[in-house]
Amino acid sequence: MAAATMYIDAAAAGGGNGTTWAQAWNEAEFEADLEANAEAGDIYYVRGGTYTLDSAYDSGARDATAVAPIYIIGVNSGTTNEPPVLADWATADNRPLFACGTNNIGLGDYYKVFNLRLTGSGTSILSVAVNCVIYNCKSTNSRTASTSASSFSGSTSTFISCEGIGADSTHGYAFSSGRMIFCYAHDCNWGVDAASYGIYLFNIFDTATVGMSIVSDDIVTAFGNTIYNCVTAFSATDSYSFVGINNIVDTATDGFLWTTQNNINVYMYNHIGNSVTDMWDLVEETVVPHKDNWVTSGDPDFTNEAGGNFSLESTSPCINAGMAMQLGVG
Amino acid sequence: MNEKYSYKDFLQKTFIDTDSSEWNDSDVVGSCFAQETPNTKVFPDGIKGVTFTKCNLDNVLIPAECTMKDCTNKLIQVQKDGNDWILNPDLTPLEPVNKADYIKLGISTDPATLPVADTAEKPVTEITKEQLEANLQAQIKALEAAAYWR
Repeated sequence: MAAATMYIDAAAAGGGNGTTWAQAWNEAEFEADLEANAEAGDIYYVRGGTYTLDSAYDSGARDATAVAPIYIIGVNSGTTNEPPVLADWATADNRPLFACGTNNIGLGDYYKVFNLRLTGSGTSILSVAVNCVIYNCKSTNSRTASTSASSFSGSTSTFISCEGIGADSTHGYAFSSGRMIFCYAHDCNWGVDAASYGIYLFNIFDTATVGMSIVSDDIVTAFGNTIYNCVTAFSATDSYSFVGINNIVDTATDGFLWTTQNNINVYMYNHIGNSVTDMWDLVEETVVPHKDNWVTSGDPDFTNEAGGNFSLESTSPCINAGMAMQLGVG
Repeated sequence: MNEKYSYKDFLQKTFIDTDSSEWNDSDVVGSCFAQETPNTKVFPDGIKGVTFTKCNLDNVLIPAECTMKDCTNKLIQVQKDGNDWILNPDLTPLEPVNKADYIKLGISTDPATLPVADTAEKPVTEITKEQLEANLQAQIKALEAAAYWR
């Protein structure tokens, strides 16, 4: 069959063919099609509303491809355009809400998921396989059971402008070999778990036991992240080829905590903020190169950190103090 | 349809202190009331005539004079392997919630094989390190092939 465009509406009565808003599928029909018929190039437009799951989604057998991903795009509840235009894309609380309960949404390879909200208490609410892109999604995992649960999980995938919320023993994000850009992880156990082989740019990790837990894997680049009110900002065992530049750490017991330090790690231009008890636990106790050029300590002057606004006031010592990004070099 | 309680997400919330008149003789459609602990009391005492349709009521105690239509009302609890299992009525484990993942990974779904102590294993929904390495190698080969043909 050829790739198709499908329409999903939480309030649909059911029995439609999914090809127009008037014939939109309901939640159960969406799940059935995703698991049995989804194919490379398909696009699912999901109208705003509450979608209550009675079972887990598993489209692991319905992989897409690099040139023809499968899209799942949340649009505003009143959307009538066929297909929807960019202005119909849902933001904030207009995004469709998938109330997962104890279920997970498991997707295969090469999915692109935009503009959804998800809640649940399962092991991982939105779990993607490999080479997926998750954009503008918010996932809240309220699980209290002490296991490695998370709001988002995946591998070799990219998370952009997503919000992951956990619980005392639940992580915001759990994945490896991924990219995490402009994301917000907060009120969780670890902001990100198993951050190996990954690139983490301009994210915020707020109120967690560990901001970024790099476990025992390698080659992680963390640039321009803000880690606030975490017991440990960066935690690793013996990870090597870690590059940490232009990160702001504020209010932490430990800044960079390596159980076994490796001398090919790079730490530059990171800002030591308020109330950081031991910024370089172990790092400062061993011979680690490239640890010069720190910005001096001080209040980074967030606009309203308690309210989740981590933009910098004009008085912030961090402005123009990090490593300069040069364009056109070489 | 009960507008106040339909098509809403009430995960882990309870309504024991609400007035039963908010519920009696109404249809509650498409909402999630799921709980993390089996047999959790969610609704106020004495409600009657409520029909739950297409709701997620996992781990929720359903009042005697209420009915369910196309709902899920499983008993689910995390076990010593760190994963959620569907329970029998006597709260013994029956089978893992994500049974398909267990089968794919060749892990037994027999509750007799569950560990007796907590395990540090990751949930089986997460990709294994071997799978990750295989994926990385495939990407490296693809990049090498692309470079060769430039």
